[in-house]
Amino acid sequence: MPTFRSERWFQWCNGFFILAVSILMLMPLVHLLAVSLSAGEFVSRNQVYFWPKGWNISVYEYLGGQSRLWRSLGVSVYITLMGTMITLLISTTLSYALSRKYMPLRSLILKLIVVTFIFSLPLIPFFLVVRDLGLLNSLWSLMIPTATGAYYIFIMAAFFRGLSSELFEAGRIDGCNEYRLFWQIAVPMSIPVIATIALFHAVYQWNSYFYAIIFIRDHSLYPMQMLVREMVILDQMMNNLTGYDTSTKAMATDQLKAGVVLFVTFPILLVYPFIQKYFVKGAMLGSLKE
Amino acid sequence: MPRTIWQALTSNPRVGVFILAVPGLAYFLLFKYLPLLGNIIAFKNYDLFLGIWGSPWVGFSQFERMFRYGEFIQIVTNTFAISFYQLIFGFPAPLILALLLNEIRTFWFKRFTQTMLYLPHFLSWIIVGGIFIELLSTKGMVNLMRASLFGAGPVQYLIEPDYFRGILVSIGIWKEVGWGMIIYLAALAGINPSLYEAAVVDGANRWRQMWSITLPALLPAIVILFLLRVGNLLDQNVEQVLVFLNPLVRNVGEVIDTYVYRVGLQGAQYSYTTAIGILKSLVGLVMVVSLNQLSKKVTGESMY
Amino acid sequence: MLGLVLSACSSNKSTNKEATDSKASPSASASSGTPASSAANEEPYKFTLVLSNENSDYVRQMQADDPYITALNKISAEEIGVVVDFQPFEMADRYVTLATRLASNDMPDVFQLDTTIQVPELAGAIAGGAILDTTELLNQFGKDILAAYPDDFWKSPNISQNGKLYGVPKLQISQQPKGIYIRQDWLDKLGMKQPETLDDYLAYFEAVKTTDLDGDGQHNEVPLVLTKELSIYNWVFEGYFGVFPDQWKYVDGTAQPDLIDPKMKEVIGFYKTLYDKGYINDSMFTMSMGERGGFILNNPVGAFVHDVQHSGKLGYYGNPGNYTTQQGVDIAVVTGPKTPEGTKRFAPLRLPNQNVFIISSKAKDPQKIVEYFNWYFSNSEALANLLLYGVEGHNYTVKDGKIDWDPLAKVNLDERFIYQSYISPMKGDLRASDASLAFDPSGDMVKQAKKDTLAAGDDRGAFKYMPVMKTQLENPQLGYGDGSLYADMFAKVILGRETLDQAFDQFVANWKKQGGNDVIAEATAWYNANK
Repeated sequence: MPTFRSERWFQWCNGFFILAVSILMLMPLVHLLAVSLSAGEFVSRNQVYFWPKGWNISVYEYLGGQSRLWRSLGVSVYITLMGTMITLLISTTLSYALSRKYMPLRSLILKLIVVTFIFSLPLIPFFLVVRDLGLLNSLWSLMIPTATGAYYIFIMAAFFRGLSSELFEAGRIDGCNEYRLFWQIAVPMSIPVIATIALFHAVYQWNSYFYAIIFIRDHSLYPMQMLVREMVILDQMMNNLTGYDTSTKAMATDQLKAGVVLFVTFPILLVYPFIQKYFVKGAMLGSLKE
Repeated sequence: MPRTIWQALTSNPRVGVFILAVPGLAYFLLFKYLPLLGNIIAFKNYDLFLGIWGSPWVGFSQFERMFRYGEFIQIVTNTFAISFYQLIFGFPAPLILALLLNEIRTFWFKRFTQTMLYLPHFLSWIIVGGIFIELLSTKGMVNLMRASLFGAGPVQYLIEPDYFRGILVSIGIWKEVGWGMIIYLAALAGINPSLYEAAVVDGANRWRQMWSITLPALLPAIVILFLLRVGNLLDQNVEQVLVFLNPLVRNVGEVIDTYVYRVGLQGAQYSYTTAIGILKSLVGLVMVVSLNQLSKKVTGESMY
Repeated sequence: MLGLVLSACSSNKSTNKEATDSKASPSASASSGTPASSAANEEPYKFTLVLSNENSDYVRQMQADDPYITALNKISAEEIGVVVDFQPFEMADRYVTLATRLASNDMPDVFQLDTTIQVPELAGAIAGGAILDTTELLNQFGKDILAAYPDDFWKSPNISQNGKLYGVPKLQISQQPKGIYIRQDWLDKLGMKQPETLDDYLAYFEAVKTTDLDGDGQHNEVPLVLTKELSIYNWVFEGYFGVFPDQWKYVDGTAQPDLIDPKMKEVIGFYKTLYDKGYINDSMFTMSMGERGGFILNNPVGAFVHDVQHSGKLGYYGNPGNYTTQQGVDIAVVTGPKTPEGTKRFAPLRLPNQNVFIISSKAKDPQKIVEYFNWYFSNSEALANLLLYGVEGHNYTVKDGKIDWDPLAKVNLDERFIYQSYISPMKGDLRASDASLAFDPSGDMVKQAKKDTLAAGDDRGAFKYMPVMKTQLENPQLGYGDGSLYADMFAKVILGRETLDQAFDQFVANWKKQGGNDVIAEATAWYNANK
């Protein structure tokens, strides 16, 4: 019989542990925030830890004035929202279908999907498929070719499988066809997992830049991460052969990098709290496993 | 009664559900299977200009090259070792964290810490690497603490072969554990609370509840995630490894993927790198097939 | 191939930027150009030039109406009837760009490669005739280009294959000599002269280490900065000992790499001495080249190796204004310690060409393209002014008929790279040219350093143009940079984990066993075929 005291002791220990880990996770971003708001000379001397020294918002003023950053923000928002919708559409339908035991060729399809995640996708053939479909240099090339994969399908299928079959039987008796069973029964009962996949994909889409490198040539279509790559990663990679942009001279490059990273990360961080409420709702709508 | 052919077709559940699957199937066919066939270049000497069909066949010679590589045994060993550490420590970590978080009773605290815990996932390895290299350097925070707490001399963690794999795996876990627990939190949200209430009435303590209710409910998710993980067992994040790799730890840290990266830098080794990828995938295939079978027998859950 | 399956779906939306066809000007004057007046009446020939953005933010944000491109095209349209559509790609992605272009059969009129056409990506394309053979065109219309390079270059694999030339090269200004950047202001403070002998360097390093030169009360001055890649920017004293990690010598009928030469042991031993005395930054094995720049600008550093051209007061490292945490920084560049025999060979020179521009066989008027490139070597005054001073009104003004160009004006500091390098596809980085250095307060120092390095010469002989050997392509650990057996051994010896003699001998044995012997055989064969 758990005693009140041991219960409280556990709660405190657990809570403390979680809090400690959370703070550990938070620290790098706080550090970056401090760096981005500090005066240049302190950053250069590595004297900034978790609080800005010498208040300086010139990084954000500079970033705010970069019109291409705002434009790419728009691109990123668009491909994240639209891309996630496309992903959900394709993934939920297929996963639902594969969770139904009467789905034709079910076992074969599942096995074939397994093959697609075990064997890696060779880049040049992938590029050629996208090209032959006429998707090059368009935002579709960033949303459709990477829409889904075994990861999303298997997770969702597992959840759909676990849904209680009574409701489906009742629906069928009522004369629902498959589409209505899917849309009016399965989907509402699976909000937590759909929200999760939506979150995963939104974050993936927001953070991705690799395919933009090979599919997009028009700079005005660049998602934000491409610019981050230019400012943060490539700067690291390349030797200083070419000269420099003196408008950023007032801030150490580390500051600019920190600012850009925060600028790009902040919007997507707002998504999870929004999704969180769906995690609670699901509990109301029925059990996952009987 | 069905009035049109369309209605006749869609009222049949098998047809109806297949039609639902069509967009997804088309996607897999076009964007996964078609390019996957491109793996055939592993048996050729692929030239960009000659194209996939025009390039000459070379049989298994690309595969043989891998075995002739001077450091072959070393990189395979390193890859297996690091992958296993990541599996043994990295796979359970998000689950454990999710379970612990689930026990928190204070709602706002739970919500708040969830948001903090996944933050490192959003940082790129270049940034994370930079931070930890600074922390672990001779004048970094870790050594400073050692000096002030224990009076110990500085340890150069980053260039000690004994520490490398541990550092690599730990930082990787730190970065991804908060993100990986989200899927488990979603699964936990779907558990019917009345099950717990019934268990409490029966006198089950928290651990018993976890064992009889929570874990079985999470089992489908655990099995799927585990199989997805082992399918790509030998894959490593090149960015992550390279940021910490240096000449003194290469003998324990150079993995298959960093080798592929270095070869790739020399230019256009598509056939060779594809062949290496296939070899890695074969290991993953064996793992998935055997463990899927095992899971079917032992837990009743499986991927296919 | 996929067209068979997908022909129903494919559309022509894929971006094929082809050169707009125009009537080519009938009067194609080949070299030194007085403006061909008839050219002004016709549509100038336009071709697409796909080139690296050299990691420049300005280039990334370039608009279609960019003043420099507009000015350049105006001049070239008037003088030879050609205009160019500059299409930059991200420098880091140049191989991916090349690969996707080749794989989708979408090669532009002109594409910029690195130094050589001997890249695996192009093997099939050259053999299959997709890359234009420019031998005849250069002979007829590119005479000035031919004259700008030494003869052995035109026979080298960088530009020729099976006796034919492919593409047009881009000059490497002064072959990018390297030098040791040192702090003249510190030397003055210490009352020392510039180091010449090895002992001078040791004395300089010792002084830097023990004196509080920046007056902050701390002995945090770093005498010498090295990075983990062990690249050419780390080779401070190799020249003194006469061996370089990337060099080969022909001895007794076989090619021998300096990498396993016993003299290399002395080099490593010397670095170990430096490290033990605390002269080298202890972040050496965790710092990458990308981080070095920031480190140098933000910390008191005594010496490092870099390309000579950036050492002038207008150069990246020479400009005291870039050192945010220090005052009065005065950079001097020297060319390495003198050997007892009196020679001073510091670092291997780069090749005569910085890049190669390959021309697609599908280009509509390749003759005009070659003429265009040849025009860069002409006496065109308008072009020369553009490439040195920029655009009138934007970068300079004309007062009383004389050009007033202020190199320190913000617009020029920011954009000099564009008009002195980016829009000059033929001549390389003109910021390092003597004409440009004339404007630099320290220009004479830089010019002298250039001269010294070039005079010291280069005894690589035919090995200069040797490409990476097949066995080494598959075994990157046989090289000398990050990820190599050499770097592993170097690090372990420097840090005292292993003793020099044992480690070096073990390294040589391993190197040979893991494919080194094959590399030697391949190199010998190559040398015999190409000398």
